[in-house]
Amino acid sequence: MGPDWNEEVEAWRKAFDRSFALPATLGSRAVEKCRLLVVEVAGRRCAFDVATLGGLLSIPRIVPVPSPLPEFLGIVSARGVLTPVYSLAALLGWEHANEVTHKLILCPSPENLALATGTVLGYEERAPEELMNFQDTDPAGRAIVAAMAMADGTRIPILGLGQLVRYLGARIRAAKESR
Amino acid sequence: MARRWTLATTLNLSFGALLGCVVLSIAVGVMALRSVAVANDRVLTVHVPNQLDAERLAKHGETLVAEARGVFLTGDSSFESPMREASGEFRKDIERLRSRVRTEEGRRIVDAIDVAERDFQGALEEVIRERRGGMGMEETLKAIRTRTLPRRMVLANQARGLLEREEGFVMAGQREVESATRFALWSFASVGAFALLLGGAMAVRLKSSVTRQIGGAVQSMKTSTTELQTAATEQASVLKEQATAMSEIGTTVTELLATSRQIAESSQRVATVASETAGAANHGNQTVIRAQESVTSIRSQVDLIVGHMLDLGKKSQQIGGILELINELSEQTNILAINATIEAAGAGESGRRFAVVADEIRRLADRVASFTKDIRVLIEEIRSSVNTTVMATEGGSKAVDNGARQVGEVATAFQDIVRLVGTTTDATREIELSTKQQTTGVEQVKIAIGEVAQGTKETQAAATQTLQTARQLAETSRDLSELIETTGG
Repeated sequence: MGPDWNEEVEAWRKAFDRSFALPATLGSRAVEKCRLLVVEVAGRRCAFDVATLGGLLSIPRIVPVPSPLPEFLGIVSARGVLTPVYSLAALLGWEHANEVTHKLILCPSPENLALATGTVLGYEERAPEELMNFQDTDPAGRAIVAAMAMADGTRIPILGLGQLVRYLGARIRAAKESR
Repeated sequence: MARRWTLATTLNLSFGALLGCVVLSIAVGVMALRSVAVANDRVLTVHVPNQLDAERLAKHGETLVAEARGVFLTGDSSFESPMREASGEFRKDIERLRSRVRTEEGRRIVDAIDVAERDFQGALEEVIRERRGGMGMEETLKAIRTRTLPRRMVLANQARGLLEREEGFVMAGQREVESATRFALWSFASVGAFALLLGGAMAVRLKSSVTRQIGGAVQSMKTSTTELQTAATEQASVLKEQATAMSEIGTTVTELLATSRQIAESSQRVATVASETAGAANHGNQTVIRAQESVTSIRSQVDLIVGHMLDLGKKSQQIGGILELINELSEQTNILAINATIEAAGAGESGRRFAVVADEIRRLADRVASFTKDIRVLIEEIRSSVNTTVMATEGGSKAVDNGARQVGEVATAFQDIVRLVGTTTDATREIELSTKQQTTGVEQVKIAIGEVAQGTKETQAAATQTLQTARQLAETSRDLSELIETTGG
C-alpha cells in the first residue's frame, strides 16, 4: 500500500498555511542554525555552508577555454557576468573522469569564479554544536575542510569555500610561475 | 470261367424262366382252347344252325306237301293258307341258309333247292288251279303223279342231301373239336412237364446259389453286425455325450436369451439416452454458437481495452513529461530558494524575514520534488502496470483468439458430435431392432435345441434299440449260419 496521498496533501497544505501564521521572530532561528547544502562530488558527499556561498545555478553552456589547469573547464555567463568555471572534483583531486556536473556554486564577491559540482543531494540545517571542528589539513595537505557533520551515520566534510578559493589562487599562481 | 450270378440275378432268371414257362403254357393252352373254341363255335354257329335250318326246311317241305295234299283232296281253299304259310316258311329257311352257307357248293345246293321248290311250287299252283277249275280226282291224282310228285321227290332229295351234308359238317366239326381238345391237353401237359423240369433245375441251381451266396452274406452280416454293434455302442455313447452337450447348450442358450433380452433393454435405454444426447448436443451446439458470438464480442472488447490501455500508456508518458517539467520547476524553485537564503544571509539582520520566506519556498520546493519523485514512481508503476496490462491484454487477446479458434473447433466437434450422435442413434435403433430379432432367433434356437435334445434322446433310445437289434441280428445270423451249414451238409 502506498502512502495516503490525501492525508499527505492535507498535511502539506496545513504546514504551508502555518508557515504564514508563525510570527516573524521565529526567523531568528535560521540565524542560529547552520544551513548546509549537501552535494555529490565524484560519488562522494560533501557540504557547503550556505552562508558562505555566492549563489547556486544550474550549469549553463560552458565555453571551453585553453588553460594549464586541468580543473579549469571554461567560462559561463552567470547573472550577466563572464565567470570562469572550475571542476570541484578535479580541484579536490578526486576521481572525476566520468564526473557529470549539474550545478554551479558561485563564490561570493569579490571573487568571480564558479565551481562545477554534481547533484544537489539536499539542504540541511545543523545546530552549531552538531558540527565538529576540523582545522587540520586533508590527506593531500590542503586546508579546505572547515568542519565535519554527521549525516545518516557517516561523517561528511563541510568544505570551506574561502579555503578552496585560496587553494585555487595558489594553484593559479603556481601555474603562472611555472610558465 | 464259370459265370457267377448274384442271388437276385439267379432268382430273377429262375422266376423269369418259370414265368416264361407259365406264359408259354398259358399261351399254348389259350391257343389250344381258342382252336377248340373256334371249332366248337363253327360247329355251333354254322353247322348246327344249318343242320337245324335244313331240318326245318325238310319239315316245312313236308308241311307244304301235306297242305297241298289237302287242297288236292278236298279242293277246299282253307288248306291254301297253311300251304302258303308253309311255302313262306320254306322260303325263309332257304334265305337263311343262303345267308349262312359260305362255300360255293353250299350256295349251289341252296340255289338248286330254291329252284326245285319254285318248280314244285309252280306245279302245285298249276294243279290247284286245275282242281279248282273242276278237274276230277282221278285226273288230279294223275296230275299229281305226273307233275308234282317228281318235282316233290327232287326237292326232297335235295333237301335230304342238304341235311345229310350239314349233319356231316356237324360230325366233322365235332371231330375237329375233339382233335383240338386233345391237342390242347397234350400241349398243356408238355409245356407243364417242361416247366416242371425247368423249375426243378432252377430250384437245384437256386439252392446251390442261395447256399453259397447267403452263406457269404451271412458271414458278411456277422461282420457287419459286429461292426454295427460297435458303431451302435459308440453312437449311444456319443449320443449320450451329445445329449449332455445339448443340455449345456440349452442352458447357455437360456442365458444367451436372458443376455439378449438385457441387451435389447439396454439398447432401448441407450437409444433413449442417445436421443437425449442428440438433443443435448444440439443444445450444446447452439450454446457454442452463442459462445462464438460472445468470444467475438470479447475479442472486440479486448481490442478496445488494448487501445485504451495503449492510450493510457501514452497519457502516462505525457504525465511523466509534465512531471519532469514539474520536477524541473521544483528544482529551479529549490535553487531559487537556496539563492534567496544565500541572499538573505548576505543581507544580515534585514534579510531574516526574507530568509524565512525563502526557507518555506525551499521546503515547498523540496516537498514538490519529493512528491514529484513519488508521482514519478507511481507513474512508472502505472506505466509498468499499463505495459503489463497491455501485455496481459495482448495475451488475453491471443487467448481469446485461441479461445475463438477452440470454440470454433468445439463447434465443429459439436457438429460432428451431433452427426455422430445421430449416427449412433440410428445404429442403436438398428442394434435394438437386431437384438430383438436376435432374441426372437435365440428363442427359436432354444426351441430348436429343445427339439434337437428331444431328438437326441430319441436317437439315443433308437441307438440302444439298434444295439439290441444288432445283438438280435448277430444271433439271427449265427442261427442262419448254423441252418445253412446244416442244410448244406
